[in-house]
Order: sequence, then C-alpha cells, then structure tokens
Amino acid sequence: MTTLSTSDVVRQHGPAVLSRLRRMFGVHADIDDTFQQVMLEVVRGLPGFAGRSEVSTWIHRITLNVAYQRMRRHYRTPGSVALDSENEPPNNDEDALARLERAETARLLHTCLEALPPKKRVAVVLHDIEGLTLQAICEHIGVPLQTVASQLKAGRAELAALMHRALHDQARRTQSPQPVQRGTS
Amino acid sequence: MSRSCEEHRADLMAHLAGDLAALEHARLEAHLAHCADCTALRRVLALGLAAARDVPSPTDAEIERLIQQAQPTTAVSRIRPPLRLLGLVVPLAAAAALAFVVIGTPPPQPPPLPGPVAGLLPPARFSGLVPGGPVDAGPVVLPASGPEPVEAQPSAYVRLVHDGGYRGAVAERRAGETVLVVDQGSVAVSFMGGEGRRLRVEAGDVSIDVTGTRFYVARPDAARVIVGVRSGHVEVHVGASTRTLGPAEVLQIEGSAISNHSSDGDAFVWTDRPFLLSGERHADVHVDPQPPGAELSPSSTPQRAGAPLVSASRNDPDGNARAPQHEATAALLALFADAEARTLAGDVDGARSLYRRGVSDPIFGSKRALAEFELGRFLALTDKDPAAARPLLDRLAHGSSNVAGDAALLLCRLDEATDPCASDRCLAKLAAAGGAIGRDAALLRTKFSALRPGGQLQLRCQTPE
Repeated sequence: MTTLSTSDVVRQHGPAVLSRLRRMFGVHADIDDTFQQVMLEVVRGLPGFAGRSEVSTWIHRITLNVAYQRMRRHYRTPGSVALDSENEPPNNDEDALARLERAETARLLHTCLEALPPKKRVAVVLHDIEGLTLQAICEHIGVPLQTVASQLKAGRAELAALMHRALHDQARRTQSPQPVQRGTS
Repeated sequence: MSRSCEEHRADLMAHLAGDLAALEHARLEAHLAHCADCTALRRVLALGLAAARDVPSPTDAEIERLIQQAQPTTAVSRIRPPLRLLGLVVPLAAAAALAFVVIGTPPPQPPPLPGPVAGLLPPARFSGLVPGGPVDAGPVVLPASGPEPVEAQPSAYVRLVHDGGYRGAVAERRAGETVLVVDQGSVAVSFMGGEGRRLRVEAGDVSIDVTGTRFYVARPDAARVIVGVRSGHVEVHVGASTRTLGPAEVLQIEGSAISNHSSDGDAFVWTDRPFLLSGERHADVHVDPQPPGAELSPSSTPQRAGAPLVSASRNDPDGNARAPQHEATAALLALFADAEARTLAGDVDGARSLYRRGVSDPIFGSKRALAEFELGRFLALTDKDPAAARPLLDRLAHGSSNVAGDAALLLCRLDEATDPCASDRCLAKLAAAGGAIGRDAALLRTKFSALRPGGQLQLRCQTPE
C-alpha cells in the first residue's frame, strides 16, 4: 500500500483543495480551518481508501463534503448586508481600482451567500461558482434533481435580492454618511 | 420598486449562466435596456461571480504554512475532528489499541464477513469485531467520552450517541447479529435492520432484541435499566418476561419490577445521520435526512433537558404513535446510500435488492414514489434494463408525485442509446414545457447533442408527423 505523509498529501493536493475552498467561501483566513478539516479527513481516510477512484477525485469529494457541512453550519440570519469599509483607500492606478472592485464585489457576494439558507446556498455555490452540474450536485447531497433545481432557482433569486439590497444600502450610506459618535467606548 | 423589477432580478443569475429560455432571455434583455438599476445589479453579479470563480492560486509560502499546521499532532489538537469521524474512525482505532492492551496480543485479523457486505468492509476497520466469537472475545470498547454526547458508529448498521458516563462494548457475536453491552450510563441507538441483521442489547439482566429501530437504553444505577423507543419496536426480555415497546414508550426495569417511566430528564441528542458502509463512503456520500429547521446532530445544541424525547403529536388517525415522515425519508436515504455503496463495490444484486426493498417495505410507505423512482433509475442506468424501468417510470411520470418530472426526464434518456431522435424529441417536448424540469431537459438535450458523433442531431432527425 502506498504510504503518504500528511505533508505529501498537502503538497500534492493542497493547492487544488485551497483554491476550491476559496472559490466557494472567498479568500479569507477562516478557510484555513476548513482546509485543515479536509486534510484531516484525507489523512485519516487514506488507510481505508480502496483506490476505486483517483486520489484527486476522492479528495475532491471530501472537499465538497466538508464544504457542504460548513455551509450547513455557517448560516447567518438574513439581515442587512454591507460591504466592509476597512479597505485601504485605492490609489489612482486603474488596475488597482479594478482589482479592488473585484475583491470587494467577491466579498459582497460571499457575504450575501452566507445569508442564504444552507440548502439554497449549497445549490448556488456548487452550480454557479464551483461549476458542478445539477446531476452531480444531487448525487453528492442525495436529493432528487428537481429539488436541487428548485433550490438553485430560489437561491439565485434570493441572492440577487440580497445583493440588490446591499448595493442600495451602500449607496444610501455613501450619500448620507452616518454621524460619527463620540464619547462612547 | 415595481414587481416587474423583482421578477427580472430573480432571473438575472440564470441569465448570466445561460440557463434562460430564449423567450425569457429576450424579455429580460428588453427590461435591462431601460432599467439602470437591474443593469447595475447584473454587472455586479457578473463581476462577483467571475471574481469568486477566479481566485488566486495559493502561493508556495501558503502551502508551506498549511503543511506546518497540518502535521497530525498539531491538526488533531487544533481542530476538533468532525464528530462523524470521531464516530467512525477514532473509536475503532481506540478499540484496536484497547483490545491490544487488554488481551495482550494484537487483535486477530477477522475473516471476511459472509454475505454481500463482505466485499465492502475493509477488515482493518473492524479489527475489534470478531465474527463468530463470543461477545468478550474482541469487543470494540467505546471511547471514554467528555461532558458532551459522543457519537460512534461501531458497525455498518449501528450508530450510537452515548453520554459521558457510558461504559460498555459492542461486538459482533455472529454474522448479522451485533451485541451492544450497556454496563452503565446511557446510550441512544439507531439500528438499521433488515436482511437478517439483528441487534441485541444486554444491560445487566435485561436483554433487548431489535430488528431495526431507534431507541435508547439508560442505566442510571446498577439496579435500574430504562428503555425508551423513538421509532420501530423492540422486545425487552427480563427473565422469562417479554415486553414489546413501540414508539414513545418508555419502560423502567428494576429487579423484576417493570413499570412505565416518564422520559422527562432523559435528554439525548438523537443521531439522524445515515448509515454508511465503509471508510471511503463516508467521504463520498452525504445524505441529509434532517427535516428543515431540525438540527439533531451532536454538533448542534443538545436537546433541552426535560424535554420529551418523542413528540406527542406524531399520531395516526387512530391515535397510535408513528414515525414522522422525515424519519421514513431518513431511513430511505440511508437505504439509497447503502445501495449506492454496493453498486460502486460491484455488488449490483445486493444494491438491486435494497432498492426493491425501498419500494416494498411498508415503513417507507410515505416515500413510495421516491423509492420507485430510485429503483427505476437503477434499473435504467445501472442494470441498463429499459424494459424493466419503463413501466415504473411511465407510471411515475404520469402521476402527481414530486418525482414526476424527474421520471419524465429519465424516460427520455431511456431512448438515447437505441433511438436518439426519439430521445431528442422527448427532451424537446419537456424543454418546451418550461420550469425546472424543462431547463434540465434543455441542458440534457444540448449535452447529448454535443456528445453524439457528428455533432448536432437535429440535422439528421426528422420532425415526427
């Protein structure tokens, strides 16, 4: 039996796993824990891995499974969704502005995704970001195709509504900035 | 904001994904032409999706940092392992170690389990179980637990949640019969019966026979044993006396005295997770049997102490308690997972038998249509027996169940190999009907068309008279 150490596994498959998780959850430090969880499952599962599929396929499934669990657990009650204002002010470099806009928009998208009910979020993330087919999603999470399709449709509609609301909130704040409160700790 | 805008916004992501039908697409484009608000939202959605998909590749430094964090000792201490893993892997590993200490020799390599399961259970994962031996020949000692309930899956068909005070063991006495010993503490059990599988629980002088159910056993002290049933039935044997318990029934046995007992105070976190067959499957298959809004897994808030374990409202018209629908769904999905695992392992006959059981077993009555659909799908796609699948799917497609659309789609696919033009016409008809199934039909049509030799099919197919 092939013996792979943890570091071997991380070196060989870690970049793909990390990229996949970043696509699903955004680029931020919280992903490290999810990544570690995937790798932990991989390392623990390796002795029992029967080799019926490619290791990368197997790890891909584990990644999806862990991501799915995370999406089910991390559900933020829908409320106001706002862009963070902690970014460094952009310089006048056009590329830099474009990059900043991309990054902010991606963060807004992920923030809104977190506010979707878990099953809808799973459908939208796996289909519209991760690129899985509906059939692959329904096979992975074990629900009928029609259910996944319904969740995708509802999730897309809710996501668009949340994004719309967030953009409007942002525009309102930009037009009438909140007065700075003083004297509070 | 006009309703029209709301409706169009709901279609924006489908539009960006190219999933909108031509007519809807044209309508949306017409709306976008004069609605700056929706146009701005489309741009942001498109930008956000593109940015989310196109993430930067991890740098070498990041990977090195993660390698440092992912060393086994660090990883185990830093990260709370998923309880599902704790249940499946850690107890068995711990059991192997404990068995080694107690017996003084490494546990014997068990012979393959007889029957169709044999090919699916790697022996290493059941090193603590000794088929054919007595209970104490090689028990899996469940791990000493902390203050919170611990979930464990000591065999393919038994899943446990036990409290911190539980002491006991699990062993396979002979093929198909698992024995769970409860020396002290409390343990909630989900057992998936069928195909001659049995579970026997031994708690002091009390033994409990189970053929497939969810129940719990508690030994608050050496003299008392409490048995409560959530779904299914169990037979409780005390000396020569036998009592059958059904859902919501709780029995207290103290010496030879048997009495009804309130479940108040027996707070358990019930496990609704599916039964899985092997180490690999746990990663491959996820089945979500939990009803919306109900979080019963150990990772969620434990059930409130004092709350009734079984809802009193789950009665049939005659007033008899029965398993709620979601439990039938959970059991059925577990059956599907089991069947899928067998299919992947090459045990097609075993898988077919399970799918047929899903249709015939009255316990799944409320989910009959889903069970029939899965059987139809298996017959069509795995058995490649369209003659057997067609009547089943045809009936479902013309019925009113929520799998009617999926059955209609599958019916179209039956013709793909033998009569691609008929398949294409069938899909076109579904696609024209619209809705979610229509969209899937359109996607399938495109996919099949692209996969066929020669490319576009419609050039060769004649429109039917």
